[in-house]
Amino acid sequence: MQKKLIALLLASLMIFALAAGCSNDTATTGDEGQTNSENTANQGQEGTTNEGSTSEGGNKTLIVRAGGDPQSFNPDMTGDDNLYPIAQNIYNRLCKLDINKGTPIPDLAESWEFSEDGLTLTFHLREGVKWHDGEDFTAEDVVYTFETIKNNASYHLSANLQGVESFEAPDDYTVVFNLSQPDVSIVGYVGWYASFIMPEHIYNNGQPWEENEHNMNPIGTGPFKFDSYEPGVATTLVKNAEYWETEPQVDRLIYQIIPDATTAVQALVNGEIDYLENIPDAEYATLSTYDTLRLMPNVYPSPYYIAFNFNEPVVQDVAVRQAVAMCIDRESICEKVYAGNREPEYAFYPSISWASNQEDVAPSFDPAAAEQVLIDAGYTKDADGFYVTLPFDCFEGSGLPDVAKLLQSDCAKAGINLEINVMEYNAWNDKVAIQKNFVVEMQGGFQGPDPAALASRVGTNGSMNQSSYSNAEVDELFAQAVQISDQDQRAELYRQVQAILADELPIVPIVQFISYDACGANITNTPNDGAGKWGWAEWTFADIN
Amino acid sequence: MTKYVIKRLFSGLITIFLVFVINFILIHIAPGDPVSVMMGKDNNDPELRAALMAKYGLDQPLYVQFYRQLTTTIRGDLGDSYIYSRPVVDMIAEKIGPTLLLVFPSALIALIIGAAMGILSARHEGSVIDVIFSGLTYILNAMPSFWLGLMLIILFATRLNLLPSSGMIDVRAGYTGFRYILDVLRHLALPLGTLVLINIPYYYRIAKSSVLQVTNEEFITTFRATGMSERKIFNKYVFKNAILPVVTVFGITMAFLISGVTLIETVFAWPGTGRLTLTAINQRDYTVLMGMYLVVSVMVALTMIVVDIVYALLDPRIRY
Repeated sequence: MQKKLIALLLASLMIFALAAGCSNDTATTGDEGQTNSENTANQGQEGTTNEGSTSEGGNKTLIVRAGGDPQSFNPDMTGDDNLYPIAQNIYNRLCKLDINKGTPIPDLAESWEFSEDGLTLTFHLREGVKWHDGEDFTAEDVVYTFETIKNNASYHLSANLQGVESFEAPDDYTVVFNLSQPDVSIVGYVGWYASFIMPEHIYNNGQPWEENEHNMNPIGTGPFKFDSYEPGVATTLVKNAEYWETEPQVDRLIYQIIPDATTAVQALVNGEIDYLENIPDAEYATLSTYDTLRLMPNVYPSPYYIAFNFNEPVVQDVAVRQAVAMCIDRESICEKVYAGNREPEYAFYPSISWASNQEDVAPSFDPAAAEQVLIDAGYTKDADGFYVTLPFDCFEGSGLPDVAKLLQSDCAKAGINLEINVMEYNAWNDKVAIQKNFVVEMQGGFQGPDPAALASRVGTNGSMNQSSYSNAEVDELFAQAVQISDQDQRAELYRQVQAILADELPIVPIVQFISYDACGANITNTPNDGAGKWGWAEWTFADIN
Repeated sequence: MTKYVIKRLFSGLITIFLVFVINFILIHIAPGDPVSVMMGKDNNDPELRAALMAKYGLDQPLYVQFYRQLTTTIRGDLGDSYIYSRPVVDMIAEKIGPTLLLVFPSALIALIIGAAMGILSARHEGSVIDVIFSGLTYILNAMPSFWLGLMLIILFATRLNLLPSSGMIDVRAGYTGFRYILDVLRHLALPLGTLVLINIPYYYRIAKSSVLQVTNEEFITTFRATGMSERKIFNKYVFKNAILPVVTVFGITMAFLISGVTLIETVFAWPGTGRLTLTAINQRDYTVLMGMYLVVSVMVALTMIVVDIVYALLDPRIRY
């Protein structure tokens, strides 16, 4: 009996093995033909319909790499970086940010203006815009969207809309924001994140947004319509031939999920995907040798910086903060950690911004002078040869642990002992941002779209003010700056803030955030090419040649 | 016998419950929470945080959350994902297929190749074959799986342009029918190959050592003394006894298969349960994690019970 069982088992194993072997064989023989058709589809040069492409419309398919699954297809509920690029092609906002991520450009609103007293913001909408299901888009949709967001404290933009008393639609193509006090920065927020206009006729049905089934079958006004989503695999959009601005050139826009950046690079080189945002710095040198690829720098107003916790006595002394600030060898960090792709950042507001102060900046690298600062302030060396010991928290990824190591060795030259603690991002966020349990920390973060965002990092009770830094003069300047619409006058106030920061050093900038995006050389009008013309992740005008 | 089976089932249930409790505690005391993920990076507004915590009941004491999780789970509902607002059951169900497709055949092929190599090595211990096989498996064993995966991608996808680098289907082509199956098999080749190479050493070592062990048993020596042919001794007595541990190990690993192979799935963008688990860990998606670990613990407990019962059937002493 037992013998028979084993014989049976072994026999089935053999059959499995044979079957597996066979299927591998067929897979390999199938290669040649498929690779060819793939290449044709990829280049799309002949314009002929090859069997590899789908019957859905034409055959121009553009594939963008996605890092992960979107949380849903409602872009206004949570802060979802995996949805954000997709949402910019399904939906529209009133205004949007281009690749420079600074001044908003028109989207559904052709123009907007503030009243004399700064209390009324009026958007003038485009006419003839239709939702993907054929309904007319009107000002009521806009009012409905912003009222819903404002009234749901858990929605991402809600806090930024609390200064708006009411939203009105005097006619179908005009939307008015009535502000409780002047705030010019609100236009930037309306054009940035979680501010996409949602269809009232779909969402205003008594259900909360969370339960609406259209969260997985979105209806927008954007250049591409939602087609399908396969979790863990891809999101497929098809072009909206009736798009109000122009008919998109690309028939299908696919966001293929490839979690590993190194694999994504290989997929790009092989032509399996067409566009890869934020290539790993180490791959830049190799990728730049391919003439089938185009590499495009992409600068974000998101410099990395260190922050001191003002509740910790050891860094309450400005001499200590100054000494640390003098131990940052930015050139060598850019070279060694970021393969020379990034630029040092000395300014307290990103250098790419009109509000950046290039004169009152962080001190330059000089460990000897840093030691002198500590000696002058009366610090003495301990048994280990250090004037001061500082715990230092940062999170994994973005090269930050390597930056920390370089900092540590340069600080040691000035007699400062950095005790580095590298954590997983969520754990870091919990310790540093929520519990404020740190002495010195390092992080990055988007400081746009409007320089008013700096207030969240150094203003009293700012939501990203890890330092718990509080300076009445700074707060007053921030308050004034959002009430003036003239850009030069605003810039002057923000420069004054930065001058104060340069003296008090609650934070110290390190490097600019510059990453390279890569795409096939045959692709034109990528998001990167659209400064002043189209959004920073928008594919309306892109074409495959 | 019935009493024995009931006893085993009961202890299996206790094990699953304990694992459930421990998982719940570990997951919830780990720093971070799903709310931070929902808020997005660069946003730490305390009001938004409080609103989200209240919305998902995360502001309640841990025992209240535990009670809620336990009661819904007992009703057979794994709940909805915090991050994706979708039923956890659906999320796991759609990922299990790809994982099994990848892991089951690769374990099987690795078993056959590894065991064959192990037996050959054992039969010719100290020979050139043995030295080569041992060396080869040491090298394979020392390779990190994700690194080997990347090397295979660079070789077969980028340099030779024979196979796709990643994913499960060619999203550009969007094949259907038979070509879809071929397409999936082409995409399967590299991750499957990597897993086979990585798993060969385990089966090789078990097969080789158990063959060697059986060969040194006294009854084999007796057979030799009687003049029985080496081939007959091996085929009839050694192989039969030596292959059992290999198959047992294979059976036990099957239980863990469902948790997926995270690194391979990540490198090859394979949409399986391993990636689901890793993403859930990174996003602190409590319900998905609880669901995945529950499924795994049930699978393991079931396998153990089946193994125990089979042993009991074979060996009556265990029953008493």
